[in-house]
Amino acid sequence: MNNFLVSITKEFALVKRSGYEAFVPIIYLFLIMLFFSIAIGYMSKNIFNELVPLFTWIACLLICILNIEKIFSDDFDDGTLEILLINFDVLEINILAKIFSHWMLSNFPIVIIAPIVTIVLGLDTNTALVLFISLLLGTPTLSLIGSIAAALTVGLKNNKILISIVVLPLYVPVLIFGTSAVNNSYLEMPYTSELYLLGILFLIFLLITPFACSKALKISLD
Amino acid sequence: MLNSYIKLENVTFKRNDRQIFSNISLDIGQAQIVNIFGPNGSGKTSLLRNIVGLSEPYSGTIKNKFQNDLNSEIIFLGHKLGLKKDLTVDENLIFTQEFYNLYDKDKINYALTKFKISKTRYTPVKYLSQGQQKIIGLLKMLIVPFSIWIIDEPYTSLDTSASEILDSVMEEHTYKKGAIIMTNHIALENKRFNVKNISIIKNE
Repeated sequence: MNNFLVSITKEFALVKRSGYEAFVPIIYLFLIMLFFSIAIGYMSKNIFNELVPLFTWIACLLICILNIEKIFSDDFDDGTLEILLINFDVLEINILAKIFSHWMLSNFPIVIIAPIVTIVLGLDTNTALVLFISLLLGTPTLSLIGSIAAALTVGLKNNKILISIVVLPLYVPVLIFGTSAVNNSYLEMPYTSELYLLGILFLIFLLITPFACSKALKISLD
Repeated sequence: MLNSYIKLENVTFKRNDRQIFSNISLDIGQAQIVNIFGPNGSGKTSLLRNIVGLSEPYSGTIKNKFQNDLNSEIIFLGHKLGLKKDLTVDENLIFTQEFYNLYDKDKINYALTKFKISKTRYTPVKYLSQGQQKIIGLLKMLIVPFSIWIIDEPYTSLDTSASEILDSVMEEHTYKKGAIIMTNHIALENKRFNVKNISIIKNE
């Protein structure tokens, strides 16, 4: 547990030192929302409202893979990863801490801001609440899945495109359950089962990912 | 296995079917310093990576006294120093200690004054010279109480005075029954400490 906290403190110290990096996801979200709004601005208000939460979800997917390779590539470049791999008894907990900090710094701001933005754009509060819950349950899964691909490709140059190709198809289930929960809520249909499924997906990947990542890192660094 | 920390028997390492080194046997115990030397590309770094467990040997065995607890006795410094360039020297050293669940400011003070770089303490590592960064990497050995140091080319980019300080630090480490495995391009002679030179030949 101590190692978990130390690792998170270190990640946050690094982001604090790098300055603007923490604000990139939010700026990116606003840009995507703005472009979508311009592109579908001619549609009627009803369709517009229906689409807003859906493109929030797509924005989340894109923001998640925006800097997913950074989870391990920085540590690989400066050699921290080798030291981490030698200390294999704390490896999994450190990997979890790194994924958690990635989520905190990339998707967590979106989870907070996006529902507020959708309300401003005219969505009803109930659907915005469902959007908030589905993002809260779904986005950690995105970071977890992405980290496996990041670990597998850590030694490669230009791994960013490869990660996108590997990871985006795996994001489909999360996207389906997330958007259909929001959609059902908008159409005043039951949506709890989708939220449960998102929760289950999260738990499954929470269990698998640390071990998959540690194995993948060992292979990548061999 | 009583006195030796790490024992290698006929270790052969292959990468992509190419033999990097073959039949290396090595025994390292308390208060011993081993220098592995050979030309570029002879597999010195690969051998170190085998010893710490980052790579698996093709054949042969690598045993250690600590069974599975090797990681709590070993500190490894490769070509990459494991320093965060945006953080200051002080932060880097503190995070190193915290990673091993230690907190000992005196040791950091001692290590910094030993290498005469206390002035750089609150400077981000990226503003330091290559040699100074190397020294900060080496300081990590001093601030954690591990008995085995595994260092890849400790003397590169160090000036004469820093090399001498490093020699004395290594000598002190052998008094504390520690062991050091390092690589170099040449055999080490006329050092303050006894060193076992092991040559590694390049496979053509």
